[in-house]
Amino acid sequence: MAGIWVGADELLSVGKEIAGARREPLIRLVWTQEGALPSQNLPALVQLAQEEGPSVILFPSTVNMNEMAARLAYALNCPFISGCIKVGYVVEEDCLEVERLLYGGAAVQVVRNESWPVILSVSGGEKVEVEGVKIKEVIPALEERERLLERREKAHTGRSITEAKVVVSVGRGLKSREDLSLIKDLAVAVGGEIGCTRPLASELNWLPESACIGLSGVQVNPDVYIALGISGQIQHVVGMRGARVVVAVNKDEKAPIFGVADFGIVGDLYSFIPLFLMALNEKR
Amino acid sequence: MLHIVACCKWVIDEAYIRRGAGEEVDLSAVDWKISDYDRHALEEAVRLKESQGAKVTVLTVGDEKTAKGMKDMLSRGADEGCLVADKAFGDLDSATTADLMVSAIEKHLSPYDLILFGEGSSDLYARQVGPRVAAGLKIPCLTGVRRIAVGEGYVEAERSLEGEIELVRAPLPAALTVLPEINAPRIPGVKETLAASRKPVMHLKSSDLPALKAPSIRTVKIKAAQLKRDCLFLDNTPEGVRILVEELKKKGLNF
Repeated sequence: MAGIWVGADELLSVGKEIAGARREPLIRLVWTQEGALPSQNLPALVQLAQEEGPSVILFPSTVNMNEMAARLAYALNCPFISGCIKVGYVVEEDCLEVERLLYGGAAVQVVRNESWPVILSVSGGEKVEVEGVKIKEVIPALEERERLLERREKAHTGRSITEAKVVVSVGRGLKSREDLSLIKDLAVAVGGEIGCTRPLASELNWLPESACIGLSGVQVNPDVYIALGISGQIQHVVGMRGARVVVAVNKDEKAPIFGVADFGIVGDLYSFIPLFLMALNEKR
Repeated sequence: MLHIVACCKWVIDEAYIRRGAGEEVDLSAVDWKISDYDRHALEEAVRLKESQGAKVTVLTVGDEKTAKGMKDMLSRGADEGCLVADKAFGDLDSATTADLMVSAIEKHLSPYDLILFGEGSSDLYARQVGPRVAAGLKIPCLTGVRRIAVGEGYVEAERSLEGEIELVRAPLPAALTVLPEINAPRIPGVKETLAASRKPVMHLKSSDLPALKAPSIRTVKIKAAQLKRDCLFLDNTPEGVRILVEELKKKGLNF
């Protein structure tokens, strides 16, 4: 078998561990054309994999990479385990054991591969220095049935929410779009970024998609997460599980958000925000 | 006229999942539902039918319980159903589900123009079945779709990636996986629910389809997620919120 292939720098940590355990070379796949469609990269990738027979291929868990991984798995007739949050190697059985979320994050599925090669898409991981990593270039096909007509950057709201130390997040408890100014006041006061639940981004369009926190949105790991008027559905909670401290404000004392919070205030976010700003000012 | 196949999965409603003893997941009180994202795929198919004319077939794969799901799916505006249900088809992995769908579509639902999927299912969220079916049928695949326009012999889709929006065109037939932001699904009324039971449904069993391949992955355990925190309740009063700020300060959080 010819190696552990890694499709992004932040997966070098995961690849290094597997390569060490299986005594195989670590190989970094390099995408020579940024923004190539999955269908353009796929033919070269299938050919490379068929010729060289890697035992593991690791992709970051993005829209394009997940699509490509699934199509590559079909072409190679091999398993693909997507959205892994933990990857390990079981020596006795010579297989990988990975963890991924199930039921919108309510459960964790522990999965092993029964055959090689195996393809994984992984969230997390970090860039580490590895000596003697070989490079393999993936050169996209020029013409595919799928054709890109236009590409534009998504609108961004300041700093990245995934890097933020403080996240002020809002849900259905917010009554109108205009009231976002209140949330902004609070975010400015605590030096945080604004996040939201799925309905506010997708159905109401009050905040950009990039602010949507949850399983199908972004995952954040701030020092403090302030959840305002958020009921705490599991799909949302999964996106904030990495927060060090969680503060929840909700009118409904039975709201599930309190079960995943360190501090809870049963009350209206509209009366809480002025009280909180006042208490902050007293401290200064 | 366009033939659109909307693929829907009948899944456990995670809102009913309880934490059992220790790490166990308690599924004893669960109800079932159409996978959230798939509702958007079905809704989009029905909207295309309303705006430019199409026949919408809803396709689902599962065990015997899925028959109930098929009624729900038909009440949401599909014309016909293809129910691939067998007691052997519960808890399938994504690769096997995709293989069954490819067989059903090739043999029984051709010709087709568009195959719509949700981006991922509410239970597994593996995001594989759509691209695998496209690969199996050898048709173009577009994922992460938030807007669809169908023209003469082609589809144009807006894809939402992590940092960019793309407009991509593909010839028909094509498979697309859609995001929740694409539409707001309708809620069926009594009339639609009654009409659903009169719509034609093709039922395919394991004996009607090629043998399943041996699965290449194995689930060794399913455990409840560790999300619980001990919540200290404080009052929504000047004093209560003052204590909150104090407590946050004790944890090193100075704003």
